[in-house]
Amino acid sequence: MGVFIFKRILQSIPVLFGISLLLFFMMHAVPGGPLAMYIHDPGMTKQLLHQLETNLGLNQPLWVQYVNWLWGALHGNFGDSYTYGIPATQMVFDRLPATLLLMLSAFLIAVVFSFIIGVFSALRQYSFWDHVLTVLSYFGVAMPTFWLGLMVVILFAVQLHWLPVGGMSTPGEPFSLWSRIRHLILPVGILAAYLLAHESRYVRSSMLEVLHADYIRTARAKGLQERRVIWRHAVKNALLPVVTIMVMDGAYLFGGALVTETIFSWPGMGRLFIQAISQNDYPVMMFEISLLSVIIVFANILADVLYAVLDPRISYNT
Amino acid sequence: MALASAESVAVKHKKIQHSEFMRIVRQVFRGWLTYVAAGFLLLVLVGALFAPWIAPYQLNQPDLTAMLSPPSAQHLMGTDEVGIDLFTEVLYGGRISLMIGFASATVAVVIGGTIGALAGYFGGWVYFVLMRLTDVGLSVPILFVILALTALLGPSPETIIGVISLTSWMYPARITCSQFLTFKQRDFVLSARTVGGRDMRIIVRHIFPNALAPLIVNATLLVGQAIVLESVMSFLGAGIQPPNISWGYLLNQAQSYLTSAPWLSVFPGLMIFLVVLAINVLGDAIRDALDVQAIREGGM
Repeated sequence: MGVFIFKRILQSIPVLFGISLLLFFMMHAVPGGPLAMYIHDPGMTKQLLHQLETNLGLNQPLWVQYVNWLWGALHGNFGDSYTYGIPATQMVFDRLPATLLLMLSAFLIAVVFSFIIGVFSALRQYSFWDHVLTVLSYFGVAMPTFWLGLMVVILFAVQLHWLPVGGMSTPGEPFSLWSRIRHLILPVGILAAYLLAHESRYVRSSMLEVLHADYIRTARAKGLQERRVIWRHAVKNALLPVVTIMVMDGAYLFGGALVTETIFSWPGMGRLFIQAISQNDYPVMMFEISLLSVIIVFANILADVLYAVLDPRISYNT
Repeated sequence: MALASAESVAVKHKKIQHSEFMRIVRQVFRGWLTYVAAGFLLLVLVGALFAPWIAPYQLNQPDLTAMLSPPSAQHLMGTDEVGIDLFTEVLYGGRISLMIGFASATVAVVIGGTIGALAGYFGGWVYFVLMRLTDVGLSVPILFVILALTALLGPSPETIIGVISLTSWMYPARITCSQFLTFKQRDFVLSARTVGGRDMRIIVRHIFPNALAPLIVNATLLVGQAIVLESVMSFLGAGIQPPNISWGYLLNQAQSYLTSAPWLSVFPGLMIFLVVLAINVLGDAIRDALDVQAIREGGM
């Protein structure tokens, strides 16, 4: 088992390497390089520009710059934000908890409910409710997240005044768990909607496949209670392919969070990224992308490991 | 006698469908839903193509007497803050959104298909390198990279198409690769090689037509994905810029008028939603008709 994990991690090193190369050259793809935004600054003279270049080491050959950057990155130094002057890493980590709160809540809700809905749908295949849920899941998958967000804000916050329009908390309102939850409901709901629609379909089809298998028939023939048959045997086996999908969807959450945070003015990493783009704040942009890439790579490894763990048929020595 | 000749005439005119393609098409259109989806898409396409002739108003024709007015008989979808008819904007915006969607999907499939074909056919280190490349592509947070690249390179429609394709080619590559790996072993490839067929010819004329099926399904769904991606970009302000408009851009503009003019948010988004829904339905119908195991394994 350990060997398997180790080999998987080893496999991902060239991938991480490739990502770092990609990111670095993205930074230098701008005509004018990382200092492009300073060129139009009226106070900037040729001398100052040259000075900046030397200070930041931008006049060295490209591969030297890359090695320096990579070395710094591996030590956790991604440079200082161009706009605020504080380390890029610090800026991002400040916002990380807010985004994680959003993402984890959405993920949890999506996993639990897609499970329930998927199993329910599979057990009542072709029934009225199954059809309704299938149609709803089609809708959910096609629905652009940001549009749903706008619609929901219009309905619940503006027209009905049930829920706050955005932000993590309302100015002047004392902090309480209920207040936090109220602010979370809409953004988390939006994020979870797509995941729910996507995953419940997989749970359903996986359950259906399992329910027609021979070993389920054997279990029923043995006289086991139906409840036991379903939960102890069918569901456990149906889990397998779904787990991978769920982990991959977790990666989608980052992008989804970006849009959701913009609509609901949520103070998280996604909004920071949008800000960084408009301010041409490359260190922050690059660090966020690097961080997320690393997380995605490890999520993939996690998915593979989980798959191997859950399926005894897969040998660990692949 | 007359009856017999009438019968023989009837028998003579009875056509027997031999074409595999036609068989598949008929199976795709088995359910009523596919007709609805295809019909709707056709309607939208026609509307977008003939926008200059269909649109009731000019595109940049502010009507200061009817600013921010709700849907009515004069303005099917209402007007925006300077009185421009929303229905017109939606029609014109559809042109760009759909164009970018189709173009991006095409480029992505071409790139991904080529990479996958080469990797699957040649195997060995070619496979290794190209698959690692695919892994890299799959490991970056797509939306972030798209936004960053567009910010760096400027938001022209060509850049947007390129950027979306660059982040969407991975699944077509994987699908094509696994298809090629499967078909490589088959006898018809062996026989083609025995007769002296060169690699290129084998790839293009023999294996590729067989590998097409799951790729088509994937390509269909990619169009929907690309449309949504472009909309998200434009919604965040990093996509289509005026004087071009797209549905996403319209939604971006609508944000300031959530309370005063909700219809500005409803209609463009509704169009995106319905188009993607129709594409998904169509894609599922095609997939069911083709019924290839490889589609599921390819990752979609």
